[in-house]
Amino acid sequence: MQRTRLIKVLPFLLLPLLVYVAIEVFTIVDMFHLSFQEWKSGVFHYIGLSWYKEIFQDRYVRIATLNTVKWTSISVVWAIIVPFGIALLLNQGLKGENFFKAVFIIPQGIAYTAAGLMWATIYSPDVGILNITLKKLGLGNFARPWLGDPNVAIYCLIFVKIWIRTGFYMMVYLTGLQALPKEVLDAARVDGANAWHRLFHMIIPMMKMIFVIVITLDFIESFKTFDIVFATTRGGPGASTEVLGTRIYKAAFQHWELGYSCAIATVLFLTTMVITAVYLHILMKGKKY
Amino acid sequence: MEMKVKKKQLLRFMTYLGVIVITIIWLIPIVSAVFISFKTEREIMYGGVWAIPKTLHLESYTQVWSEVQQYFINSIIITVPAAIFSVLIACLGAYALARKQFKGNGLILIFFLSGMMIPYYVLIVPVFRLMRSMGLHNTYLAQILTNISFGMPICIFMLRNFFATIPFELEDAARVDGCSELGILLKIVIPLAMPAVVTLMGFQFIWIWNSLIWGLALTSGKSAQPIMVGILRLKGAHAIAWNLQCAGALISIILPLCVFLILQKSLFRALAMASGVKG
Repeated sequence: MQRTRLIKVLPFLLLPLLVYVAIEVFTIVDMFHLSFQEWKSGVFHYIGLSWYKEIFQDRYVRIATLNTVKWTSISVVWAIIVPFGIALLLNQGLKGENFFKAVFIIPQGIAYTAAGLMWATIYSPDVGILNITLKKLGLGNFARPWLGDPNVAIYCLIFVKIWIRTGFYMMVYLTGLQALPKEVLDAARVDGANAWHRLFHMIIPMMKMIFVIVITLDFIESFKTFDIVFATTRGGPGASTEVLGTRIYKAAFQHWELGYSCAIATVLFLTTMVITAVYLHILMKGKKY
Repeated sequence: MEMKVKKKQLLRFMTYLGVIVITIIWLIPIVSAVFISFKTEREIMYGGVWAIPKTLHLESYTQVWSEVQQYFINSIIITVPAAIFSVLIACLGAYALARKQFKGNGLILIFFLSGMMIPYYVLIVPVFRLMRSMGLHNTYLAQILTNISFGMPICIFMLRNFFATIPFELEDAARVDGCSELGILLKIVIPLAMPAVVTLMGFQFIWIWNSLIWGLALTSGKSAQPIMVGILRLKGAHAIAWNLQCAGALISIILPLCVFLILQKSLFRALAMASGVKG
């Protein structure tokens, strides 16, 4: 690579930096700034740390945090196990492999918002496929208004996200599986290592970095959850599907507590940055091997 | 010996069975949405969703289309320039970061990349305030600019990885011939990375089209709202008209889904490279 002085490459960096700083970076700074202020009749007043104290007493923030944690953990555990399992199945050279792959890949091109609407139809109490099928199978007892039931609504929404993302992780795992050294695995087979042994002592350890990547990607994606919930339940029934995204949105554009919305956003932003730093640390360490 | 063969066959059968069952579950939402969108409300109530529609009722589509047409056009006007310009602008930065070594290279890269992890909704209030103060609330421009700015991290990240794979010899030869730096970017690096540049534009198109948050935060009326906001309006207008909702959802996904299906092969190659899965 060519060694150059910063001043020489500045013309190239200037425009992208400007575009990035003028909106994204500027608004991050403004978010911090606004989190210490209250918006009343069109003007902002400085109120110190009051909003931050409020966060800890806000029942809805607590529920939203718990739901986001629940959402993230279920989604990440799924992303580790199921797409990897499907990738293992599809990696055996099945007939119609491309068809199966396509089925899992298609949902990724679908917007969360649109998927939310499509799934809401499936979950609907009287005409939804889910209830109709359960009744036909004689399992009518399990039928319920899925998105109207505070106990299950959140899980129904998590599944929408899972439906979209599984194919992506499956493809990442497949890429990894296909990059594994065949000779080593074949040698192990000849030496009498059975399938389980090869899976747990060879394949999974060799794919460690891929698991780290999938976990991180899904973690970030789960934190970003907003569209699915907004398109379907908007946080209801009650607050049972409230996530941090909808909480921040509601604080801003339903209750018009703009400063408070920024305070919750700031806490979440800082959390995300800490997680990112940890991730980068792990990634750097992994690269050394 | 025979036992072993039988066991193997059974295993193979179970594998197929497993894959087919999961595949069917994965197909249900799309199939059901298509079925429902071709039925009338009466048919859904009395015939059930599983029944294959006897006649294709296009009423839901014509009705939904007349309602969402404006949103659809808005989405095109917002998404196309945002996708093109975010990638073009990112090309400049990615070129410097990938092919020049200078003091602060790593820092600037990290500065850009840290923007990738941010959930956009944390910035709805300040972005709303910024656009309002510039008099851009409820305009296309506000959404185009915001999407370009927020696209910088991912575009720079992807392009930098591609640009780094282009051999330096070509560049050196051009430099000897008296080619300027900008000339090298435009005549050598970008043409060689063209498939990647086009793929990235396609993905920016999909991501921006599919996003909901800026459409909600930066608009207040039909004149500038994108399709993702538009299909939520369908829900409010009619108590619960599942056929309209499904037709709306399908109309909203048709463009990005087509782009996605065309590009998905290169996506996985790119992602494999970008995430370090290979090499």
